[in-house]
Amino acid sequence: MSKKMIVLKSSEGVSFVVEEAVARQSKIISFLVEEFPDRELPLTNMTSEILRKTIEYCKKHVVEDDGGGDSSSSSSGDLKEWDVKFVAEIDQPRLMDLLMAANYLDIPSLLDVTCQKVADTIAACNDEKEIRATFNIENDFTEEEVEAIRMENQYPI
Amino acid sequence: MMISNLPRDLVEEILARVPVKSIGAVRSTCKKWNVLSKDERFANKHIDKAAAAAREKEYLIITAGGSMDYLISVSIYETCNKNFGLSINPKAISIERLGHSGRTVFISQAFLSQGLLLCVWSNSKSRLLVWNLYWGKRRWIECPTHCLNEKFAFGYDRSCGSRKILRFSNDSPHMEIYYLSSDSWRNYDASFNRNTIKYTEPGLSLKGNTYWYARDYESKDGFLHCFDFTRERFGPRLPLPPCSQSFHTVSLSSVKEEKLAVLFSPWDTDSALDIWVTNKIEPYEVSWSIFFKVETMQQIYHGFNSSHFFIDEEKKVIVVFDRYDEAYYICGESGPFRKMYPREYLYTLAYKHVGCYVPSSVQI
Repeated sequence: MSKKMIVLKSSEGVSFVVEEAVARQSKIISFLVEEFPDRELPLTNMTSEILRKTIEYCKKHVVEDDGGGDSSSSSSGDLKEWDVKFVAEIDQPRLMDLLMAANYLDIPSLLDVTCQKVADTIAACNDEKEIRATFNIENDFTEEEVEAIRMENQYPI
Repeated sequence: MMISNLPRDLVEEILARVPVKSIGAVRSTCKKWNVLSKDERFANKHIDKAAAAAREKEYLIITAGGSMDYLISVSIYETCNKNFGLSINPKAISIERLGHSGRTVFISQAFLSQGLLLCVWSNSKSRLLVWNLYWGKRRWIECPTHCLNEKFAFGYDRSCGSRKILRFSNDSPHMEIYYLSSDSWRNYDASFNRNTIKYTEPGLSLKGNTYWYARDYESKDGFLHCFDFTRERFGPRLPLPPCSQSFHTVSLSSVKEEKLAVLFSPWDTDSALDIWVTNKIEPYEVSWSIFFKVETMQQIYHGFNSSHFFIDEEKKVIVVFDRYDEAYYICGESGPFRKMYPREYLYTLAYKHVGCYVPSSVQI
């Protein structure tokens, strides 16, 4: 049985031919495919690199609907493990790009894993100084302000 | 792309997934994050996600140190051979002791109700502290008058969520209710059988109300008694579970702020220890099931001085703190009843057991 394919075009003009079921995990693409069948879809704010990553994620997560009931391509435990590895291999600037892409294309599960990865990185920092250093955030507080927040936010857990 | 360039709603999505214990570091990272994390809508989302992700339940206890008291959290961990241990979080918050005429005043009662901690220091005039640990906000409350043997209760109106504190005493006919929303005390005139009921142990906050193990002055019969903060009145005498033997002490504990647990401690270590949990608990109705029974505590040679306790319903574990020692007792359903000394702390663990902590975004 031949599968319906669609074409996604990155900001650099590179075309990616993807199974429709794979691309439909994006609610935006799902909508566009209905509105404009048989057209290639330009994703002007996504680089080829990020689009390739997004497609890789969607391919892994596609639930093949071939009439059989339980037909997810992987078990949920395997998928979770795969997700962890998937986001672990991406450097921080690209992870932010991927997070933006997940938001733009409206892929909730990808948004969840990318946000969780950033949150875990924040949680692994010992203090605010380490968070700033890790994410290159400018400190716009005075020493006194930080001390006041620290005093207020003691937490026993 | 850098995190500082992300739109606000995506930063919010990220920060809502950071565990509650890291929120202090998040708030002090930069002004943008500080403002965002102080938004109440964000806080509710954060707390919901944190509660769903929490793997271990955290129980708060107040320990007595050398010159300070400390609020610490403990949780139960399972070792590979079905034994259990207590992990004690090293991040303790110090709580000042109050001085009065050269005397140190210790915390006499502590309550935890939906994320708010209430500590009471009883002296010639009682001082109260209401503390939201999530916001780091504290409010001191002065009692207008004083009477001996004051009892307190902490809860909220279930129809509007308004927080209230009850103050009464067996030695005085006057009762008062403090309203957190208006920061004021009001006399409370409902009938109160102060000459017939004796409250020996401090009360326990649960589902907006406060429960006590109470006894009849004359018959000495024990029962459960509740102050209903929604209707602002005491409930009827509620039956305790049918304990099969004579017991030495009765202690109450809450299970995830949903159920009440009761521990009957025997006089000696040859007897059984009974723990019961409520199926249903309301100011006017209660029903019980046995949680488990520890048939013998003979492994403990030097007597057993139970005080506060808590249980983990899923893991089927109880932890009982020793009244006079820094030890605790821990026991799984099938395992032995063991006496343990924590490595991390040398303080008296049993000082005050507060309860299972669930953060709340309520403003005080």
